[in-house]
Amino acid sequence: MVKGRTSITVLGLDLGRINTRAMLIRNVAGKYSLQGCGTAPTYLGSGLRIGTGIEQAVQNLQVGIDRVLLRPNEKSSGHTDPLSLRTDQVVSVASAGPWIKTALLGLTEEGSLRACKTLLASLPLENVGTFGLTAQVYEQDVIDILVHSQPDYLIISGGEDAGAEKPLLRWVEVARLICLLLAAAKPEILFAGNPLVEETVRRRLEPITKLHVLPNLRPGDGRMDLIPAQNALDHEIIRKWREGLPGWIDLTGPFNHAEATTGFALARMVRFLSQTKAHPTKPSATRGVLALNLGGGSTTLTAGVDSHSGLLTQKRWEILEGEEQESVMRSVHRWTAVPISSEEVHQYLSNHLLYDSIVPDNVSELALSQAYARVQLQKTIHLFAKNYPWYQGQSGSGFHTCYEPIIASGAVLTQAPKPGQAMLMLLDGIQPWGITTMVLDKFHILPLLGLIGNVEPVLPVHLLASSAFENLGTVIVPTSDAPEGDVILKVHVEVESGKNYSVDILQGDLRRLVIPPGSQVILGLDPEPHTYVGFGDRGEGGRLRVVGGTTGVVIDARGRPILLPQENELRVAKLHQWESILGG
Amino acid sequence: MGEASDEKKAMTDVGVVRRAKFIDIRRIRRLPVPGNVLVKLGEAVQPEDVIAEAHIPTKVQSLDIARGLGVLPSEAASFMVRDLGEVVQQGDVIAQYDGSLPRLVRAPVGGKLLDWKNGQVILTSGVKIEQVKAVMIGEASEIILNFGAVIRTQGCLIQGVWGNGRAGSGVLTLLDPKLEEPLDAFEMDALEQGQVLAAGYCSQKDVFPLLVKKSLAGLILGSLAPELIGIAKGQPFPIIVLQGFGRIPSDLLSVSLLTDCAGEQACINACDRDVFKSTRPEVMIPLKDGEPDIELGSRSQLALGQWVQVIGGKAFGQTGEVVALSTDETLFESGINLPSVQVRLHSDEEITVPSQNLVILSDLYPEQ
Repeated sequence: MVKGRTSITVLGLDLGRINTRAMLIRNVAGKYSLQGCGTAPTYLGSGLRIGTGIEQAVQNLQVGIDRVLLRPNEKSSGHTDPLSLRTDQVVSVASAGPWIKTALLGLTEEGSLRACKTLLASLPLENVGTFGLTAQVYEQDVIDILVHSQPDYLIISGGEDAGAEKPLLRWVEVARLICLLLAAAKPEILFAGNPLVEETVRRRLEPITKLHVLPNLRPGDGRMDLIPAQNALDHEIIRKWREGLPGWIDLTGPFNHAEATTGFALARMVRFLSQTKAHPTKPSATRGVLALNLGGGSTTLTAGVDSHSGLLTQKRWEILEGEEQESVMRSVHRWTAVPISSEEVHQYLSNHLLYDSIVPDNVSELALSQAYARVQLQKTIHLFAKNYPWYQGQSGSGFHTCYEPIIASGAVLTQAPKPGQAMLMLLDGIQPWGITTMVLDKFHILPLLGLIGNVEPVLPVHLLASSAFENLGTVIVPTSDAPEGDVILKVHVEVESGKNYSVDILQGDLRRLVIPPGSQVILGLDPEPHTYVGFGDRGEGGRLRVVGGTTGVVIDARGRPILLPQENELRVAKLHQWESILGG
Repeated sequence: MGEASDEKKAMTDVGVVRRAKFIDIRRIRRLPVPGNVLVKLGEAVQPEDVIAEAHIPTKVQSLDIARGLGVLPSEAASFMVRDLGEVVQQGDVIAQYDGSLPRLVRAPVGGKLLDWKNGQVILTSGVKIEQVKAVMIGEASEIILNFGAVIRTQGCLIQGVWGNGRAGSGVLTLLDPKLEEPLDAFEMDALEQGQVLAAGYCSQKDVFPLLVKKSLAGLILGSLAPELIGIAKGQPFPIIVLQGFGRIPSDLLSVSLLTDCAGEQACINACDRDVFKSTRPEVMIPLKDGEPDIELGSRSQLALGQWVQVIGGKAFGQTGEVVALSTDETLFESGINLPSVQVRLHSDEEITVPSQNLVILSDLYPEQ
């Protein structure tokens, strides 16, 4: 806790691309809780101040709580904001700003370049050029491309903690030339390569541009260490956004204030949570934690397990073209739970991408928006697994890493008319393995907790157990090679009333056990010998105490990957059937 | 005071896609890097006029001075006769050794001496010119030192929702005064070279080669078939879509504005939408006389009597008048509760629309 205080009051600000949220967290009777949340549009664009959205969101927050947070600024002048905030601590996360143009200069495709690309994909950075060792043959072309694209940042990496000094220094010279050529708009440089050349790097680059020397992205043994570079880049992104988005500094400047990009703060929270889930002796019992946000401007996914953690931030598709368009359209069509033609899907997607704040007002658009969310999730998970091979678990070990809980946010999920629809979007989008719990972060507060934890460590613990998070339910995913319709798992349900019962789970089933929200049951999982259910090896079962969520307990035996019928009528009927099973 | 159970919202502020008969238009034309501003304050400009340009050196080559003079790399700098940053002509001596066997290094091409390392000098011999053009008819009302200018005009403004990234200008013509029929229903023979054509809907890719053949200066469409987006992007002339993709009944206001301005010089800037710069694809038609309409900015409050465009739901792309504002949330067919407004469409049908699914076009009901 802050020195000299017994508790603090925290105002959390979430500056999203579409909405700005203001949340007040206060200690009431020894426990921190979310007192209220106010929302307003985010004001972006020429002549608009992002501070207007903050003011409106705080004013809307005030409506629901017995507290005045905004008051006239006594020191107000023409240059400062007319309002100031009354609170101990302000924490803000942001995803509203423009993506920052960044180019990568690395060496080997599977080494430094991969690390650079993974780093770049983790934050709101736009890749304007990636060049490896082979590109040094065409150095003039590289220079021309970089002069044309005018990056804000150049990231140089390579060489592990020894070696490859010569090619690395060649990139340093190219970076120096770019800074000289773009003298009026020179990029800042992040060097995260072999530390043996650091002195030369400093001598050649420091006199001409702002240089950040960071720990090597690949220090050796094939390991990637991205967090120090992510931290430095996150500070830089926030700095650029503060400079470019008027009103931000006015409102939050005078306070004890912590801030980060939304994705980075979310990843920090997930790292913290995942560290508590590692099993000391049995790796197969180690659980990870996964969090995702389907935001208006980007999709963020972060996961942590054992000593691993990863972050992926994907920009919202602005226009779909070529193969990507075909693939997205086909997938959205397949996951749409209403009879609709592929032309209608094309029209919906094309129009939907023109605007970032459309809400579905009819059944068809709801089905389309939920199908689109599934496809976004599937593509994000696919890319995450590609960037972070540890995500799926150790290859050949026969089990997949379980992530529990999976915490999700984003309007399409939190505003879904029924919890079963949110649960089904998450199941179809993520297609998790083993045993997990799906949780909705209703107010998108988890990233803020990632920052508040530094100030008041107990606060996230209190909030995570509060009603700000909706437990959608425990999910059990038995997987087996058995033919459709075969029994693959027996579930014995022990309830407090003593009216115990058992359920046979068939291959291909999606089942919902109606367990009232908040009530506890014990599940005995008795898998067939060929069935993996998340307890260790195939055939291994066990007992599990679970708390009912808003969808009860869900058993998803539809297989991985989930296959949909080819024929349109059957496909739509199947999607409907699944939705109705989960109460959607 | 208990825990939060819901979010308190205020969502009557929505985006603006401006359409106005006569309005003050100011547009910033700014280079991404500093350069030279080529217009003077108050100077009249045409769409193709360059407002500012920057010269960025390119084509880098390394000259080995130490080797050329036969000296050690560490000594070479002392034999340079030109300084870094200097511009040299082809054949100029840039380094000279006056020993018993005098030696010279000359510039192989004209350029600028950029950098020095280990006995080598870096010479750049090319220039990349970055320009920003007016893309409208007007006058420079403000000079942005080293970067560009604000261009101002008065006249008709019609903003759209999609552009193919190009710009151009020409005399506005309409093949169909109501913009109801698809573009392919008309003979293109009547079109003259360099005209800007306004039409209702385009669903046939075959029309594009005909328009290219006619050297069309620009195309304004109410709506476009989504499968033609890629083809439209590849056309050499600017294309702007006002309402969206798929067949959408024409916007009464746009029809009225375009009809009134037929025969005038129309400038199309079919740029991408940029939320941070508040730019949208747009058509600007300078006019001499009129009472300027009010400025709505890039976001504004929904109000009764405004002319709006629906951007979601079954009436996507259609336009109409706001006839009722609700203080309560409405439960929509999708099962979602949302703040809503009542809109009377051109067809006289009244619909309830989530306020988030609207953009404001004008503060006025269009003249018919």
